[in-house]
Order: sequence, then C-alpha cells, then structure tokens
Amino acid sequence: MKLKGNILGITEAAGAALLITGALTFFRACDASEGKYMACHWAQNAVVLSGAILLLLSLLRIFIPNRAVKSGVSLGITVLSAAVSFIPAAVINLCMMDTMRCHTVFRPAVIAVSAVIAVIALTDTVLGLRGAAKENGHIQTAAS
Amino acid sequence: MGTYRLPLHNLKRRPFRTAVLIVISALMTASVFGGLIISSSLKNGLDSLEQRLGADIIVVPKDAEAKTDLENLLLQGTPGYFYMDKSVQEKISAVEGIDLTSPQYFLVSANAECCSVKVQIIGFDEDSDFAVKPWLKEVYDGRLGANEIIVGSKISTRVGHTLKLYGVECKAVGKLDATGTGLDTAIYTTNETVRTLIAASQEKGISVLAKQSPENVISSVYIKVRDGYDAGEVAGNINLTVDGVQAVRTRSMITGTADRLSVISGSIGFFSAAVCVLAAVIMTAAFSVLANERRKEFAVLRVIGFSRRKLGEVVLSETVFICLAGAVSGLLLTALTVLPFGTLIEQKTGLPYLSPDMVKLLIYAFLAFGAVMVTGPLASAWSAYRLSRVDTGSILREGT
Repeated sequence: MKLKGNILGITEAAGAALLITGALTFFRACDASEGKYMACHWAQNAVVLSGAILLLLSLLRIFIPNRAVKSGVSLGITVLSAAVSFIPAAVINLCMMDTMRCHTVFRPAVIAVSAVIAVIALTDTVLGLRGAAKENGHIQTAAS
Repeated sequence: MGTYRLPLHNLKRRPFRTAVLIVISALMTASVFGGLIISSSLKNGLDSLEQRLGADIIVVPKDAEAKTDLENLLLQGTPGYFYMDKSVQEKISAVEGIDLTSPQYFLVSANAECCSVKVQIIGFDEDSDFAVKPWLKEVYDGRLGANEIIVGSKISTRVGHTLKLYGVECKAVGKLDATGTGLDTAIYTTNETVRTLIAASQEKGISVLAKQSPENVISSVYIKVRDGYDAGEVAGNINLTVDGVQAVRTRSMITGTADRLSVISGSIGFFSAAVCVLAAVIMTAAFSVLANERRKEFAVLRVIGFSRRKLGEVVLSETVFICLAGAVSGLLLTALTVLPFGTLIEQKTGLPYLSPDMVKLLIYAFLAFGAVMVTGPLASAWSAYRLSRVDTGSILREGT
C-alpha cells in the first residue's frame, strides 16, 4: 500500500471512523429517558451502521491495487455518505422539539461529517477516473 | 505552456506549501462569513423579539423568580409557570395611562408523548388579546376552539396532527414561523384550553396549583400604554398601587439583551478582523519568502522568453488559484458548521438567534469571497512586482 495514492482513501476512512465514534459518543443523539429510547436512537443506530459500511468501503478502496476499481469504490462511498446525511429527520424521525440534542448536535454533526466525506470521495473518484484514463492511454500507446 | 497552466503546475509541485496557503485563506473566509452570519442572526433574533413582545409592560407576580422565569421563557424557551390572583387585572386597569390589558396563562406540560421534554404552554384571552393574535393570524385566521393549539416553529408537530398534553388530545391548527426566541418552543392556545389542561393535570396527580382554582388565577398581564403616557412612569405607578405584582418594561428586557448581544457581536467582529489581518500578514510574509526562493526559477523563465508582465501574471495567478480554493472550501466549511448548529448557538449564548434569509446569506458569502480574493492578490502584489523585475544575468551568474 503506497501512501501517496491513498491519502484521500485514508481521509475517507478517518471520516467514517469519526462518524461511528462521534455518533456513539460526542455527537450522539438523545439519551434514553427512564430506560426508554426515543425515535432518534434508531436514527443513531442507522448512522453507526452506515458509518461501519463506509469504513469497510474506505479500507477496500485503500487496499485494492486497481485504480479503476478504486474509483468505483470511491463513487460508492460518495453516494452512501450523501445518503447518510438524510438519515436523521428525513429518513428516520427525530424527537419532537428542535431544541433537543438530536436536532441541535446529532443531526448537524452527521450532515457536516457525511458531507465532508462525500466531497472528499467525489474528488477521489474524479481524480481516480482521470488517472485510470491516463493509464489506459499509456497502455494503448505502448501496445501500438 | 499558458499563463494558467504554469501556475497550476507550480502549485502541484509544492503540495505542502499550497495546502498551507489554502488553509489560511479558507480560515479567513470562514471567519468573515461565519462572523457575518452569527452577528446578523443575533440582530435578527433581537428585532424579532422586539416585534413579537407586542406589549409595553408585562406584569408578573412579585416572587423573586417570576421576572427571571419570564425572561428565560421569552429569550431561551426555558419552560416556566407562575400564578397570581385574577383580580389583579382589574386593579391594573384602574391605573392611569393604561390603554389595553390582556391576561395570559403559563403552563408547563409533563413530558410530552415520544420525547422526554417539557413544553411551554401559553394561554391567551381571545377577546382582549393584542400581543399574540396579530402574529398568530399569519398562520391561523380563525378563532381557536376547545383543545386547539398553534405550535412554535421548533416543535415537530405538523398542522392537523394532534399532541397529547396531560392525556388531552390537542389538535395543531397552525405552525408559526421561526422567531429565534424562546417563543419558538411554545404552544399557544386559549385560556379555556389551559384551564382544561390544568384540570387534567390535577386528575393525573400533577398539580401545578397549590390551593387556587384554575378559574381564579392568571400568570401575567400584558399592557399597552395609552398614547402620550410614559411606559416607565406607568410601570412605576403599577408597582406602587397594586400589591403583590411587579411591572416589567419590555424595553428594559430588550435593552439588557441588546447589551449582551452588542458585546458578543463586538467580540465576533474583533475576532474576524484579527483573523483577516493575521491571514494577510502571513500571506504577505509567505509570498515574500517565496519570492526570494524563486528568483532563479523566474530568471530562467525570463531567459526563455517570458515578458515581465507575464511573470507578474504567473505569481498573481498562483495567488488567485490558492485564494479561490481557500474561499470555496471556507464557504463550504462555514455552511456546514455555522448554519446547521444555529439552535445550539442560540442555546449556548442564551440570546435570540434567527438565521438570515437566503438572499442575505448569498450577499455575506459574496462579501467573504470578495474579501479573500482582494486580500490574497494584494498580499502577493509586491512579490509579483519584485519577481517580474529579476536581474536575469546576475542571478544566473551566481551559479548553483
């Protein structure tokens, strides 16, 4: 694994790790009240699960040697991370009051982190596809 | 190679230097854009509070906590309630200089269904009210019936849905626009519905009233002072003539908030200006050091036929690309961090906070973008001038 070609992949993995740890700790949704979980708890679980898939995809992106496949995985990360930003409130309801933790901390933090991952992964996809196209060009020139 | 491709290649060749300069310009953009958004949101919140209070004086019980409770309720949305005898309203109406009076009921719901949160319920008198109805009318023009409520913008209940308060199903008939104040987390209804809810709370064993009957109490009286009378004097007269109450001038409440707001806005302005100056100084220093390092490179370019003007263009283009990347990432960073965390900022500052509309946001983004796109090239102008005037012969003779 070369560091130079994988900086964006490592950043995506770090972002996914931040999404998982953050959603479980410092930007978690509302705590359980009297042993009862509120609606936002399920949104938090969905974000953690999606974060785990994003982390797995990012690791695949780092360790797969083929540039074109790397770009395909990055495209998948782009789409999934963009979808994660819709989980709180749009896909799974949060609590009743907009002043509650799930609205003030959890949702904005998930949107911010997933948007940053999406932008990085999109950049990675574009750069990867351009690199793969160049590689193909060199191979074709050498063959002819 | 064109004037635009060479600067791009130069930037790619020095990724660390380029990244640091982009981060500096991004921080500058973020501080200007973020500062403008926060200051403007705080000002909008205060203006909104001023409009929404709608009364010159608010009379509350004389308890030490009642005034603080009222301010917390209106500014931060902290639920609270207090009661005084209903007869107070008549005594207040007799004071000279009073034009209109209207009583209000405050009640705090028990944990509402689905969420562990208490909700402020504000009851108003449909007939005498002059403070709440003018802006409730924007969303609901009819007369509120029994168990009908209008909800603040930060309550996620939709119009037409019901909300269970103390076991009573209340139908939301309207939802208010955001005000940036504590009123966004409140529920508005008539005094009759509030009495029903108090009775329901008593049935559930959560009694908010110690001895009095809900029919005989009110929480506050909103007062409109007659033209030609001074609100301060009228408030003083109420405090002197009516026992057990305190008259609070809404203007004094707003002045206190405005003072805190101006301190915060001033600090934000100072911080943004400091970041801008620091960024300009760092950029000037960085470009100046680079100008010395790159004299040989530019001497070679001069030898291969680049004009002085073209050399200057190369340096300025590099700066423009750096500032462009920094400004765009700074704007995105701010949009992702400041805008969604508005409610958190409101909670932490304890001040009314209302985000500006899209047009204003675009204007602020344009201003921040312009500030960086002007500062960056200005910071590199001297270096561009020096590099475009390199003495080719003497530099190349210096050898390796």
